[in-house]
Amino acid sequence: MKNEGLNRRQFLCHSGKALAGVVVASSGVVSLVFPATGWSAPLAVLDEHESKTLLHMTRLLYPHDAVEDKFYAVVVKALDTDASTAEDKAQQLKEGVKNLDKLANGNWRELSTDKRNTMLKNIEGTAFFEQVRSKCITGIYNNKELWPHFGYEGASAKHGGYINRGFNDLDWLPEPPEEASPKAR
Amino acid sequence: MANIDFNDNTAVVIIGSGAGGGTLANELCQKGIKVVLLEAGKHLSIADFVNDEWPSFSQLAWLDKRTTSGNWRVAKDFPNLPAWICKTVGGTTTHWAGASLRIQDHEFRAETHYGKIDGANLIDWPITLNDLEPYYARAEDKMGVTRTNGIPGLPGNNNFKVMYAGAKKLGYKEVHTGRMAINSRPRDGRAACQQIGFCFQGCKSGAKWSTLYTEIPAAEATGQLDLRSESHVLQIKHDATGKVSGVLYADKDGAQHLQQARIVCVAGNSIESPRLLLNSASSLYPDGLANSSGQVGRNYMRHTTGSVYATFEKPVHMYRGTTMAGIIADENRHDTRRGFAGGYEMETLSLGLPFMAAFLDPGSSGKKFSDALEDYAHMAGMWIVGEDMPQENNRVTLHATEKDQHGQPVPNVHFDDHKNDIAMRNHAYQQGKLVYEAAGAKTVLETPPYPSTHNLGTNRMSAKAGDGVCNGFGQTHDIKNLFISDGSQFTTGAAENPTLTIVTLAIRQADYIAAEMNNKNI
Ligand SMILES: Cc1cc2nc3c(=O)[nH]c(=O)nc-3n(C[C@H](O)[C@H](O)[C@H](O)COP(=O)(O)OP(=O)(O)OC[C@H]3O[C@@H](n4cnc5c(N)ncnc54)[C@H](O)[C@@H]3O)c2cc1C
Ligand code: SF4
Repeated sequence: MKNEGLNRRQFLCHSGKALAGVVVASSGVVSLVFPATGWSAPLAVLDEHESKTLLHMTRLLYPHDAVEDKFYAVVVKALDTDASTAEDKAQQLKEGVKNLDKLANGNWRELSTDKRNTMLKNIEGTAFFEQVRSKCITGIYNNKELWPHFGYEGASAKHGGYINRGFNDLDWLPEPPEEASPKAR
Repeated sequence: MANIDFNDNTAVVIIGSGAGGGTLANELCQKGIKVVLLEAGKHLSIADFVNDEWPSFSQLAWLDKRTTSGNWRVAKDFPNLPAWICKTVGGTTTHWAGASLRIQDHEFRAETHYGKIDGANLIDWPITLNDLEPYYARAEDKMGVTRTNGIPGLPGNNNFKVMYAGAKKLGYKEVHTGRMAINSRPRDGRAACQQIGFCFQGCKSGAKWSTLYTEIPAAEATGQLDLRSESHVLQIKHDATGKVSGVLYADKDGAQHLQQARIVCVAGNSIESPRLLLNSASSLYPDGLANSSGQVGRNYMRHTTGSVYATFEKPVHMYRGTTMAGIIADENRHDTRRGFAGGYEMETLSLGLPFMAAFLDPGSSGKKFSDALEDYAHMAGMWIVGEDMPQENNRVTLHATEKDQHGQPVPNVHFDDHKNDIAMRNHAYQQGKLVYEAAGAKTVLETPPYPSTHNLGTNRMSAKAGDGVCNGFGQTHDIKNLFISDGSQFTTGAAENPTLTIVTLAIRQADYIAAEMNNKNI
């Protein structure tokens, strides 16, 4: 939602750092780590470069400036989890990242945003692209922790529905007449 | 509840407990007729419903394998999900939104009224509005439809306010909170709508009519009903004379049973019903049951649909309250100056954030898409529902190689848009856009059709046996103790949401079956 979550300035000073320090490799284990929130998740399949690349990719696919990197990392973690039990999925992710770098003639992540977006457009529809994209759809928009950001209130029956909680509180347009919209009883 | 023996051949066996089957079961039981109601899905209760889109979908939707073909976009975006319908006691009346509109007089006479249309397999219904009026009245009373029987309309929610403001600015006249099978005040032992907003996930207050907690318990109370859930019918059997004699079904453990029957009524919705008739092919009926016309599975209709979502400077919170909260009915007329035959309705619609992300523009990504979702709380939305053309090659067929968990061929659903459908959809997109722009929209988005929620026509009624599968009572032309009791009997789609008509036809069919049984004709 527009007025909730971090404001834009807070976000800007926080995001650069967060993204830079996301993936830490220590004693061979790669983890997604967010010191500020205490969130971390070890990865089973993806290496440091792959997970960083996928993190960039998810944010470019569904950019929401005020959404913390942590939530995009949740998607990467989910991709890693799927890949840990399906060799073909793991291969597809690894090949996909390699292919992006090949298109970039180097490290895809280091290109400008415009260039990276163009390359994503070029691979749109490939199995790798779909694997990452479709995981974003559930990983981001079906993540209950993010619903407040979008202004979606989720389950309502347990709160007695919206009958007394604003189902008709819109006040910036004229009220429809009673014959079109009778009063609640 | 009755306990009917497998070898008892005096009962009516109904396949499917949704709008058609659930209603028919109750109507027959009320007349003292024994019914075995076989339902593939589980028997849940209101307490089981969840206000959470994906978990609810896994709980209620029909997820057995299906395939698709044709030029409709669903085949690309959701190749194994042609339809969004349910597998549970109560069928898709657990998911439905409740909009309950009568089909208009001229729509029953589509061929006469519209004339020949290239590529359309158009005929008139063998029945008229006049025939159905008394039954529509009974259905509206049974379902508690608002704005009928002195029942007040529902209060409009925020999504409706936006639609109303825009529609009125545009000059539309018939704009209101609709005729809904949702209690605006307590009625029939059920509560009034609490504006929960999860109508598609099973109504937690029971305000919305569903056969699950209206028709089916009422039928059980008569002592005539034997409801068997998790009972998936595989084949309909017939005797040497060609009359149907029973059904073969698999119970929840996969064990197969043969239930004898005096009459069999098929109400599995428009994909499963023709599939079952085709899967029941025998040496006597090599093309499937009731298929001498070759029309079983053909003329599949799904309504011309699409959605329009718009974002605004100020908040809307469209998801609060009834999902389908209002209607613009002005475009439901036949007026070829618009460039197409038939008409359409515009009805408010809202999806929660998880479904909005999945359906707004399937497959899409990038800034435009995420900006729209960023504005989710400022979004209003409507759904278009219009008459689509019956086409012979839009059809349900059996897959040549793929089998389901019971070893039965899975259905393939083929659909190509007719040019009339496309012209209508484009017109409706444009009008929807104008409505929201008139209300001050920042951006307007056209959303392609969802997997089909309205599935119709695949065992259609016809006056002539060669044109369709059943007569005006849903009795098949070929086999007089075999009936079609769901939306697959629709001759044409009309502009209106179909369920009120499905229920109406079921009530009328029950009267007919009872009379024919009495007269020993079946
Ligand atoms: C999200 C959504 C919103 C909707 N909103 C509206 C609306 O506002 N207004 C409206 O008029 N309509 C609406 N509909 C459509 C409405 O739900 C259907 O038109 C109606 O329920 C169809 O009735 P039916 O009897 O044909 O089939 P269903 O209600 O689908 O019932 C068929 C039943 O048969 C069972 N079955 C199938 N095959 C077998 C088998 N082989 N053996 C045993 N059982 C079997 C299925 O499990 C199912 O329970 C909506 C649908 C959806 C999905
Ligand atoms: S909005 Fe009304 S009809 Fe819809 S789920 Fe809630 S109580 Fe039921």
